[in-house]
Amino acid sequence: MDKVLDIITAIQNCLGEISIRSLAYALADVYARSYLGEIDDEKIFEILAQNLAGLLRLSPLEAKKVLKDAVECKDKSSRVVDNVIGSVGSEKAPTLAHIVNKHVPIDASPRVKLEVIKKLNLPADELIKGFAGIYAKSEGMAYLKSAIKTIRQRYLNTSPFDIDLMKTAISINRKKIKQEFITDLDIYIREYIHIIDKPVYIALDVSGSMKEYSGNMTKLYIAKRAIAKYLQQMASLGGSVSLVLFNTEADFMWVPHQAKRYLYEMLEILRYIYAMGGTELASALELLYNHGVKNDVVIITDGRTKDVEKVLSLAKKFRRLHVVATERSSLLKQLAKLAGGKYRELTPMLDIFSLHS
Amino acid sequence: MRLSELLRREPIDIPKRVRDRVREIGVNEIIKSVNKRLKGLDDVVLDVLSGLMVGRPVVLVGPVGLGKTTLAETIAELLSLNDPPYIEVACHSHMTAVDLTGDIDIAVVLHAGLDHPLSYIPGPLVMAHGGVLVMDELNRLNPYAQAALLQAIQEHYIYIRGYRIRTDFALIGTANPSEYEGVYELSEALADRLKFVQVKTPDKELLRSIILWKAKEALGDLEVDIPSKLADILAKFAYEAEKAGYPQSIRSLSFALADAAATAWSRRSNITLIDLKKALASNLPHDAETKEALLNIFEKTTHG
Repeated sequence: MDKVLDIITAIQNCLGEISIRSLAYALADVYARSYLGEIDDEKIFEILAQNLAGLLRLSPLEAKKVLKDAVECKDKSSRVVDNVIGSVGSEKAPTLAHIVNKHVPIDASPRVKLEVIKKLNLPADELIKGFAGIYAKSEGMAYLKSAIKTIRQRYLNTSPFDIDLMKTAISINRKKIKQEFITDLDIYIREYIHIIDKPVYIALDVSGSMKEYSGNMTKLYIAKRAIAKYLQQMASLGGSVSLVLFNTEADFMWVPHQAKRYLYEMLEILRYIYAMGGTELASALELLYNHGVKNDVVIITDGRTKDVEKVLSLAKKFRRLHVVATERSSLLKQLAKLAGGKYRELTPMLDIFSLHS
Repeated sequence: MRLSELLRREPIDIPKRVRDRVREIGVNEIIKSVNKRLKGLDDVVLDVLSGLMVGRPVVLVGPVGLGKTTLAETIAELLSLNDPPYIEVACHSHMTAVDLTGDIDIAVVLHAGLDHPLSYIPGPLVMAHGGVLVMDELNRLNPYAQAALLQAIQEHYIYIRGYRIRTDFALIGTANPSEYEGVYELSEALADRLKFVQVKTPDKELLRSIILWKAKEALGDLEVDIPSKLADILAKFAYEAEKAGYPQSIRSLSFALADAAATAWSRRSNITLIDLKKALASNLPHDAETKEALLNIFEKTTHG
């Protein structure tokens, strides 16, 4: 049974601050279960997972996978850190997302991912702060509209601001010519898609060029601040956000999760994001497209990509692909136009949220 | 129950009682008894028992219709730590902490004094003292009710208007996956104190025998012959459906089979595939769209 203790210590070492209560019960449980019947290694992991599943916020089956990976974490983490530091300046480099996803499933919650990051001992930025704490939290924001879904006849409780003047005018004119009565049914309103109905995907460029300074801050830091502010806004509105990191390759830092629930973890993870390697914008678009994401994407990049043709052909498959450029770029402007999105340049005062309106 | 009696309650070492009962009955005997009502869950039974033996509340997780609640009740009955062997609560989102703890009825107190048997109406957390508390669909509890449960699990005391009542119980809960509607996230402190045991769909062969057995049980003394081929098809269908992302409820499947058999009986003919398909359509607990997808899978299974 020393083996079980070793496993538990290894898990504790890798995942960090894990509840001692759960670990102690898990150990006792393994003993009790061995009294009831034969158990093998698989079963030991299963019992540990059953006891830690609640804490990790995973189903017992997923927890088992995480725990199994966690046991081997110790050697891996030191190797990974070397790898990160060693590859500065070269073209290919793993992003933070790639490193974390080696240890946990890609769809693990930000909480689990943060635990892994902390264990890896990566350097972190100072706390992201400095943006104004005041932002609109009114009801109007919750219904923030991003695109017209349909135009239909007016029904009760619609806002007069939603009236589609063109269609209404045509309809009234037609009635006038026919000399019929004009009724409520001649008023047409627009129905919108609301931005918090669906998760928003942010693709952040973490190539080496993001380390350049713009004013007294690096471009990456400005971008992080903009994302942090955006996350807080989405949290107050109850929306979901996903973050994709890309340099030459792309991976999900976290898949769509409720910003409100994981706000602290998301903001913490942002601090650990670093920049290195070349840029391949197509990699992010490809990743998103392969995961069935076709609209509401915000890309933050400098636009110095390798394969321009590929980027433009992929962009045509997206709708509402907004671009935040860290330096003026005609390519990015064209990209946003192709995909029906907006183009903004990154400044310390940029409000990503305004892209949706 | 008089309040004065409740306030004098002694602590009970529930894990020890469970261990003693398990030793008394014997592991094999427990599994044998469970098998009379549920099959293919031997491993789960042992996982639940080991949790209770070390004093950890256990929650069975899995989709509907795999026998989670029945299993919880059966284990509680077998252990029979108290009389009645278990108190069961069907949790829902509108449950308040008072629903779980019980409350003092001020009107009775004013008339008859605090120690009248009707002055305090105990809730399940108090009634379960010394026995097993079965909490069905535990994750439907709202955060307020969860807090009351947490206190009972953690401190073994509950507080009612300043009175402190001891309560010791073994908790077996069931929970549906978090994707289900109307399900609350368990608070971190509560989740940290629970053991989660997954109940999986059994393999094809076992599933077939379970469906057949349950359908026959449902039909009772109705004299009708169920061809085992149909159970075979249903098991295959369940397997294919799960692969396609729709885990099936064993309850619905066996009732569909029994339903088809009863229809055939009333017509005085043999069960046909069409009967089964019709019965499936009316017994599957899904929306129209999912149902159509499932019936397509069923068609494919029967022809493949």
